[in-house]
Amino acid sequence: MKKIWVAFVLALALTLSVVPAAVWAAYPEKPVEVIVAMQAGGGTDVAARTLFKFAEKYFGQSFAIINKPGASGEIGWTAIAQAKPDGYTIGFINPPAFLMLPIQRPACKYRLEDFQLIANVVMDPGVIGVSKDSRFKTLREFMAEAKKAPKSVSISYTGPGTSEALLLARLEKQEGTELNKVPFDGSAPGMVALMGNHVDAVAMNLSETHTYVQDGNLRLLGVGAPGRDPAAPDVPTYKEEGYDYLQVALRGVAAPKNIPAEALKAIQDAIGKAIEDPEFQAKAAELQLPLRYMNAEEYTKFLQGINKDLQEEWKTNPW
Amino acid sequence: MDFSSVFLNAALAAVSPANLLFCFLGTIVGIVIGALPGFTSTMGVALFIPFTYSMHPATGLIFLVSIYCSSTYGGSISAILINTPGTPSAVITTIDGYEMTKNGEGGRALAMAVFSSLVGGIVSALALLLIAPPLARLVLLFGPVEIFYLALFGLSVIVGFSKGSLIKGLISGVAGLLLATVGVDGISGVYRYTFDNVSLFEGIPIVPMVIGLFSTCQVFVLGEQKRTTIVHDIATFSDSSVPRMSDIKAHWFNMLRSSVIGTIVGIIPAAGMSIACAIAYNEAKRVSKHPEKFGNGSVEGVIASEAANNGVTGGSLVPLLTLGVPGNTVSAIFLGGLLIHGLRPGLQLFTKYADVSYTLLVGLFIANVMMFVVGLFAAKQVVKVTKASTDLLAPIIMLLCVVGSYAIRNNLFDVGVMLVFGIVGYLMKRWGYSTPSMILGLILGPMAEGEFRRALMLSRGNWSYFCSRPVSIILLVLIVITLVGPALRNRRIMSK
Amino acid sequence: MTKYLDEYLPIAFLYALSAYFWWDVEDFTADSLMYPRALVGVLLVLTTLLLVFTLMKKMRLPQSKDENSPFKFCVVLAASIVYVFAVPFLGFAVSSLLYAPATALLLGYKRKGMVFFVSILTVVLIYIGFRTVLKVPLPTVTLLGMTL
Repeated sequence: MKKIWVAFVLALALTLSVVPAAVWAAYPEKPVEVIVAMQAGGGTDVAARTLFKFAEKYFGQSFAIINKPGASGEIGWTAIAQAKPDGYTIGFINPPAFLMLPIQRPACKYRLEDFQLIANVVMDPGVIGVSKDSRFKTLREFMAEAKKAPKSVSISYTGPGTSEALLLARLEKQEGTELNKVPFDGSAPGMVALMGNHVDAVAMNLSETHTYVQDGNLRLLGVGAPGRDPAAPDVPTYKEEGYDYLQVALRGVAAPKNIPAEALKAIQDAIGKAIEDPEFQAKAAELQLPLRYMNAEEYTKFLQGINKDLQEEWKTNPW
Repeated sequence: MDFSSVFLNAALAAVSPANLLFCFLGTIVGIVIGALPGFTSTMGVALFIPFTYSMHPATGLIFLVSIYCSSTYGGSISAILINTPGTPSAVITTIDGYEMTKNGEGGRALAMAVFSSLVGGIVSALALLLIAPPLARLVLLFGPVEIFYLALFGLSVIVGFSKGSLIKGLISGVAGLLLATVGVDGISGVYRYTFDNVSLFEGIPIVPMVIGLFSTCQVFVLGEQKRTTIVHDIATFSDSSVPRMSDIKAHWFNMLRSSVIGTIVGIIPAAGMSIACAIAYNEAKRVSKHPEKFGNGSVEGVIASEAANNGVTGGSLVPLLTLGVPGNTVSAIFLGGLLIHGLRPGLQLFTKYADVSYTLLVGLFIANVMMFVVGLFAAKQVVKVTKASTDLLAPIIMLLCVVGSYAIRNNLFDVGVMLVFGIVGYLMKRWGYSTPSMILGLILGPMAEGEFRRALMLSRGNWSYFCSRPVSIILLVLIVITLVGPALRNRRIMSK
Repeated sequence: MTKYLDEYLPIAFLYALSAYFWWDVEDFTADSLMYPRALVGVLLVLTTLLLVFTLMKKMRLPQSKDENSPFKFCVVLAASIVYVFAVPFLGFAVSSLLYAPATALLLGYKRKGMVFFVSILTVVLIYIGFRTVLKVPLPTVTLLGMTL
């Protein structure tokens, strides 16, 4: 009788030690929710849906995109930070706006430290452009004219609290002048204003410019990438023109901090494989998404660096 | 490749079995989406884009455009039958549509709504096909000053269409404008009246507010009625929902004029369906032989509103396809759909990708016809809802209100907004204040303020900036006519 | 008495609204302040005009052609408020299936079979349409390991 009991207890112990491992090994056992902080159908949303559709192949479970738009992304990003860190809720983030919001608004309910960064997918440099027959041939000429009188030159951008606002504030400080910055709700209305000659220049992102450049409606004066971009090889960088500033819009994946280590690994690997998938790369080219993969470690370091710069900048030159 | 052979190929492609099938499916989906309160065309198109991933580009786009056109019509179904606009584009249709239903003419209203929607869609599709490039140039003439005047024009229409007291109508409009200031100010970055609640940063969410003011309010109205049918007198109820030749002959000019208004307003980025419907409705009333019927069940009001909102569909695609700039929120989503299929808007679309884009354009015509056919059939069936008991209808509509207001942002706060505005709407009705005027104020407020401040920035203190260009002057004149006209005609500033 | 309330309560409410939008402007920059205050000004003028006309008895309230029952109104209002507050706790499906039949029956609808049939059908269709086809989540509640 006793032997049976011992056997039973041993068996139970064995099962109990194996079961938790089995439970862990079962990640992902249900679909993972991806919170996208932008409107369905917009650039960010399309990028996210395309990426995760390919990542599903390598992940084993599906990714359910949930749009929580509003407040330039604050609503969605706050939701990611406050989600349960069980690896089943992650999200798509857009630095530097993602980093700028908590700095410029103390009441913001999330901070960089609340997140576990997983991977960066897209790096889209900023540009400054003018219309085809504009009198400005270089960025230097543009700023020189601006210096003549405050607000004599107008430029459209997407509003305060964006990477463009930051770049323009930096340009103004370096030249000691003021631009007539006119905010529009998006780069498309800004382009319309430029094409109708209501403004002198426009600040937007490189990926949004291809159609306009091709149709001859836009001429780029400068790009904010670290080096000349292969998609626009004749466009000088801001640095080359004398303005040593980086202006890039990033898009990547993050989760609330403290998710299980193997959830992090599984998602990171799936995304990495998706990015290397030739079909995905072709699709990304069609969508004009400049890919630039960074894994969790790289990404965290990169963003922490930018964050520190932004915090310093805010103290001396709030945007 | 000359135009006629491209066109012929496109026409043949557009009627291929696959494309016709998806056009049909898209139409059904669109009508359902449009008719259900809370579900907007924007949401509908956005949520179905992933479905089109694996389809051939032309098929996918025809599917999406069918959803767009028929959801614009679909909104009128619930607007007319149960006074709850299925989409914000149908808000103005409720004014006369529901009155017609109460008078037993629901079928007639639906029939004219679908026919007017067809006319609106075809006129704008023709414009898109034949004169898109010159129309696109029209867009560029609209800078901040011009769009500001357009917004003012849309608002001045409130003067004309307040049912009852003019003062109360104006108050509703101004209240709407004031509520529109809640949220982050796009120009200065200041957070206005937001109680530090993240959900209010973008302003009071429009769709839950529309659902509340119309649909939820209707739940209360239907619930408290002693009479348990919508129709006043069941004996006058007519099942007929086929457009009558007499109606078409009498009002064809209204249909055309409203379609043209819709197309032109649709072309202008940032100006959407509400403003088109408002302007068309006002124009129809201004030239009508029976202006006093407007607001009490005039079929002309329904025709004007429905022709205009479908006119916007083709119009909004003009700047999108030619310049890459969407004409309204739905076409902005459509841009995502284009990009997914590797189509970049601009000249390339009509040269390198001509086969897809022309197929899409022809498909737009077919989508409108499909919407008409299916819509007529749907109308005949759906009219029977008005015979159902209001005691059962009311809670069911409430279910849809809750789903609709939640589904936009997955945010329970929006459901609360819906409820609050349901109560507000009920009180407004009771006290004689016009709810469409408040909605117009809410939608046009940000446009008016934003463009005014941008214009101010660009004018740099020079007031002549505000009246130097031809388009600005034309719009100013139109505004003055609209404001002064009715006052001169009626000399009334109190309730009738 | 109700007529008195119906005429003057909205006016009081409008004055309160104006006051709020005028005063709650901490942290506003000069240019973002301009517009709301201009609107409040216009609203105050209009409301005062309205007040004057009401006092002079020149305003008439809309006459509804429908006969209404205050009891039914209270039922539908109270039930709807309870329903909206229940959704976050009980989930959409459960709350709806409690609210719709209860409200319809309380309002006087007699056919019990029809009520349950329509309510269940509506909820099922909504579930299929939103959660399955469109993958839009609805508020849910987890009971006994089941997510509803």
